[in-house]
Amino acid sequence: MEAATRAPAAVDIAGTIERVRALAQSRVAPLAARIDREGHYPADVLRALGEAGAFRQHLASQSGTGQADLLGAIQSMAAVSAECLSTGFMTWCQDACGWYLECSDNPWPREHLLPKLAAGERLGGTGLSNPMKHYSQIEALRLAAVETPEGFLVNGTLPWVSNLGPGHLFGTIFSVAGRGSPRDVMALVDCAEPGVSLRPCPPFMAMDGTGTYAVQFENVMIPRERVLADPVGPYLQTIRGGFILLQAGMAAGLVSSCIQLMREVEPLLGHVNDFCDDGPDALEAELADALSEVGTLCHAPLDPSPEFFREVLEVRLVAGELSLRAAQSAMLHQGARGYLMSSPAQRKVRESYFVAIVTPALKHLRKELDRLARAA
Amino acid sequence: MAAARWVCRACGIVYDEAKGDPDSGIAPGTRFEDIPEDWRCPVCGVGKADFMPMPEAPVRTAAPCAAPRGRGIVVVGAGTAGWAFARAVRERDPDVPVTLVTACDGDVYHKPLLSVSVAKGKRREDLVQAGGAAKARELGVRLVCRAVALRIDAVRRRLVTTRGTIAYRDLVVATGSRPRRLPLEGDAAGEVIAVNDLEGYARLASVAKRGRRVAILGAGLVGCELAANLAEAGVGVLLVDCAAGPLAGQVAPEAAAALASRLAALGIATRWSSRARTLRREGAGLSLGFDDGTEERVDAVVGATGLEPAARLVAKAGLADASGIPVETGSLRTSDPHVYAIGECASARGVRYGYIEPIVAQAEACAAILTGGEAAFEPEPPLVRLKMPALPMAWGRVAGAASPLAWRTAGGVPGEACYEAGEHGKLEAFVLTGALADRAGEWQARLAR
Repeated sequence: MEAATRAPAAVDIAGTIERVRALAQSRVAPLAARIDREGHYPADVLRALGEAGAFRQHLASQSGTGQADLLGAIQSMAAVSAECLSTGFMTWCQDACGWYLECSDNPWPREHLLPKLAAGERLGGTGLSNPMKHYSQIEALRLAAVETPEGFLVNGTLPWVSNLGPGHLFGTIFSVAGRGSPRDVMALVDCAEPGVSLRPCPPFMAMDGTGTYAVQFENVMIPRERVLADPVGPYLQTIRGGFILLQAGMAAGLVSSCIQLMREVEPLLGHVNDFCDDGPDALEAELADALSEVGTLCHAPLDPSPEFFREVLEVRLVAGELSLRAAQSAMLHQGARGYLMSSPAQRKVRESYFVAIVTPALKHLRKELDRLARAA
Repeated sequence: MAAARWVCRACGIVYDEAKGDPDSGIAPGTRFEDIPEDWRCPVCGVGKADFMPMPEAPVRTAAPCAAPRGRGIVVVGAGTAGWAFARAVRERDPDVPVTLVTACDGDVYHKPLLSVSVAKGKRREDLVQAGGAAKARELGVRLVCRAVALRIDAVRRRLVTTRGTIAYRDLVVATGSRPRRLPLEGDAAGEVIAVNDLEGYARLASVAKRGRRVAILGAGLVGCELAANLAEAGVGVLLVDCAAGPLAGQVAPEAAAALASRLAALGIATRWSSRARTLRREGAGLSLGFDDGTEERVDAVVGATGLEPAARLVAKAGLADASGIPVETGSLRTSDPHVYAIGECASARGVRYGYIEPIVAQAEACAAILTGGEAAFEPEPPLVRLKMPALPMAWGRVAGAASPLAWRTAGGVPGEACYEAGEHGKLEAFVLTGALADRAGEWQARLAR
């Protein structure tokens, strides 16, 4: 059993975002191309971001202020994403994993694992893509478990889980048959657990260094102390808002860096870029509007109501669409120089599709919003 | 002073004197003019002559485009108001792009028929006058169907929908109304059928087909029409209202009493001054519980307790209040100069117009304004007709008439009578029952303006 880690040291909260931004510029930016194209997984940088406080702002028990500052976490994630969306995405993975533990009624993972996740000492991800699609009637749940006196024996394969590596943690959901009533249960999985194997994915079009694997479960024993919610239903309704709201950090960082790329060429190309569809001023205003909406929703992220969830999904949809437009516009503003493989503009274009495709994808958001509107 | 940064005209890479070009052996701090003449752009290979000093200030020759390009009128909602607007725009302007966004298929139908068609054996498809796609082709408008309009970005003039985001020049909100939620409790509370669109009608028709007992909550115009129509179709009907009789507050008490006895004669069971509180599943049917503790077994429950404006779409843009979407009466314009509202969602000085005639008039006025014409919607008191063969009724009243009205009989016998209200020779309201309802046009013309 792992020893309880110390309570978080007094943290300079106000300085977190600035520290994270400085790290993003000094350590993330130089690695961006390698992470993007060579599949380099920046474990050291992630640990350093954790040390700087990037993974604890949204966790009231770890933030040092007793408050959950989701918007702060989003701003830190944005600073990272502006330099490298892969690292921004892994920041989100880590944030989401901590969020699951923070919101769980089970004290064990909260006491024994959360402090390490919040500090970046242990890295973690989220295996909720498949379950989220399952609950939107898009695909079947891929993990199934049999209940035993000690816990759950899990089998199946979970595709596309990110920010993984030996000893990393992630939260996921499996269906349970056997003893008791059939139900879905959420638990924390340790990649080092016997029976868990990580199979590398084929190369991606961007963001290759995100530690993304297909996770195979062969008779994996999940002890009860690792269970986050049983049954998962009501818990899922409280965590889903924060899970999706935090993704705004990826979009905000990507969009602001695209605006920066447009501004960069303005002195030279402003006279012709005036004829582009989305200029930097317009995009900046849109980003500010979306972020102010996100900020409002961050005040009560655990609201389980469908109306709150609709608002969250809507602003996520807006952020996804804005990411696509901003990257496209950055490319068109930069013109030929953006087309060079050495230019960040072309990388932003590839990265922007990730914001639109990562769960919940734009089409998934629209399907869910359609369902919620018709049910209201 | 020499520029510290030079830019390649061909590829745009910047030579920064402070950084030099170490890969080509140019040390940091090397001034551009000191670079050997055979130096080449490290990215694209052009020579020194193709570099120019980095301009410091933006060079703008064109003003940002003032008018958004290629944008047209976007209408949300393909009900009576939306289609009437599309038709009216096309009559005036064959070219302006019109996009109609709707959550359904956009099929065209006459809404007043929803409450009176079951007894005639009409199916959902029998009520469709034209398919949405066909109507859109005929009018030359773009139909975006099965799309839920999510939000308006009024600053950028964009409508976000579940089928994509659409830019507009002007937006016309014609989202209509939605059934008011009943404060029912119980595991079947969500099973109440609302007959407010074709889908609701299809549910009603399928319930009626099985000859069951149906409770109708609300004995207003629609509730009474539905009750009579289902009874005619052989369905057992229980009509419930919290008032002491049908059409409470709308017509003269004598007319309401005549209607009540005619409903009873049709075999319709009634519960007046009664409120439904709970709806629970019981066996294959439902149990409807009332405020006095009693319960009734029914097979289905239809809600007809009124409508509220469907204004969520614009609420977030700050364009809605409790009354609906406030518009300037004549122009139908909201407080946003590029957003209009027509039909049941629009509220002109607190009044919402829920009947076909004023809705079409609003659509036509709005279409005229948005195609550069001059027009204004002028509210007329609507003529309301109860479409019930057993006791046809028609009534009208002027806006702002005193409430409650002092009714008096103006002739006829119960079941075929005229009732009127008003003072000093001014007719403020009238009700005609039975065969006299045919003369509603004359009475309507006499209403005090």
